[in-house]
Amino acid sequence: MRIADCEIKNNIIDFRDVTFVFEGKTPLFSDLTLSIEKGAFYLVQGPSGAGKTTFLRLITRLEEPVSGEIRFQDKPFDSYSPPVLRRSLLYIQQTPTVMDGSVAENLLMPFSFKNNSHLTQPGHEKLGALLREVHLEDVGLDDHAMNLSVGQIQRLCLVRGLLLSPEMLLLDEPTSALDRESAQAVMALIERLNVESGLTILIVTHKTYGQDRIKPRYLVIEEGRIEESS
Amino acid sequence: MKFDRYILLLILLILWQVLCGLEVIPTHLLPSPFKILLGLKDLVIIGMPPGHLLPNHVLYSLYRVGLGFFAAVLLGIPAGLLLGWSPGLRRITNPLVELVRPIPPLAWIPIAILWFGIGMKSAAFIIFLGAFFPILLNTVSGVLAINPIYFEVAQTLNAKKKDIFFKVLIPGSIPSIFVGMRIGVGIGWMTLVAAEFTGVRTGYGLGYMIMTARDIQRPDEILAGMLVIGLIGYLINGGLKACERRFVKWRA
Repeated sequence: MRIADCEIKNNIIDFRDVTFVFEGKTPLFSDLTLSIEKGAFYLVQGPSGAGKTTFLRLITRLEEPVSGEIRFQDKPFDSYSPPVLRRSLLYIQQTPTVMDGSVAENLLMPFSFKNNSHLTQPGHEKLGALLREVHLEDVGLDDHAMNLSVGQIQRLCLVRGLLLSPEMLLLDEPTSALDRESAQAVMALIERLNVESGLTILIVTHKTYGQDRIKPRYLVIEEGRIEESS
Repeated sequence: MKFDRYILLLILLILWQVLCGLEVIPTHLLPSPFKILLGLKDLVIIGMPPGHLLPNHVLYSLYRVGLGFFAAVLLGIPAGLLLGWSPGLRRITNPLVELVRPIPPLAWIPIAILWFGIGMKSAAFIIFLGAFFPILLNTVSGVLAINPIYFEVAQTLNAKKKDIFFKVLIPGSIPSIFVGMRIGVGIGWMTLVAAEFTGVRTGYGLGYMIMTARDIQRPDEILAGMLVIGLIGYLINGGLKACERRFVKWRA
């Protein structure tokens, strides 16, 4: 893990002496200092309850540290409103969640939010192409999203997030409900986005990484510390 | 079978008719179903009091209930959404709501007459009070029942508070809002007779009609009026259920 250094302009996220504690509990992270390099591909690993999900939630301001500072592109988090920050940092939860409506309605729902009005709403052709890329060729845009399997919903949520063109993708167990073939398709898409578009990737996963197109960097969370290992 | 659910009702009606025919049931206290139907016919053709026909009573009552109910909807739903949305607001208003809620709408009749006089306004006010709290409280509980993950997903997809309010919170609470509306309109109908007790200057209203029938000792027309109230309540409930099915598909 690289030690934070505000002079390094290639970092997308910097943690500086960040302490986080859930109310009434012992601190989950104490004086955490680290940097996430722009365009890198990270796998976040560690035992259950170590704070992997909380780490992603801190980056997307769904949780706030009790002390220390988190910076995005060398500016303190406080200088961005959370919705503006989340235009760049897209977090996809472990629990895939869709609204009660068609697949197309779910994919396009974020475009109805005022904060996404700068984005061009994709046409059905693009939606179909993205669905095919994550092995959802059997899923029609008019299908009811709540009738899909958990694995299909998980991929649908990934596509919904990617349509917002984030700079950094934070994925919490994105292949947990997928069969091997679908998991490979999802990882191949994420890799391609990392290599071709320079998207910074941070994936919480328990699975071993079987792809060899890119060499991921590992962040291991244990006992309140985050270490980079190869 | 589509009509099998009415079999029990039919059996009870036949039994009732037979028991009245055998004079087991004193018909001056509880007329037979057939006699009630004849009373209904009288209400339609002759009216109670004479000349004040049933359809007009129905229209006036619908108007009063509609007025009270829509006022309850207009105030209860936005207030419920705001109270569900804001824990601080909920905490501040909770003692007031819990203090006023248990007061029966009928207990408000004297003060309603004092405030609004005898007539449409006081009747609608009583119905409003009956409908308001079920709508308010069901809307609040509908908001609180929304899985927090929906709010968080909307947040991560860059939704601002306004988007979350209109696109997650409102659609997510619609099922409970409809339950509140159905309970509210039911209580509205229930308080109708009492509301029209406050006096109706027009001489129309189902409650007024029933009270007039009581004054001249026509239990058949009293029960026919009650039957009409029940039937209209049943139809309104069915209508709201049909609306609910259309809207609920958009729930979060």
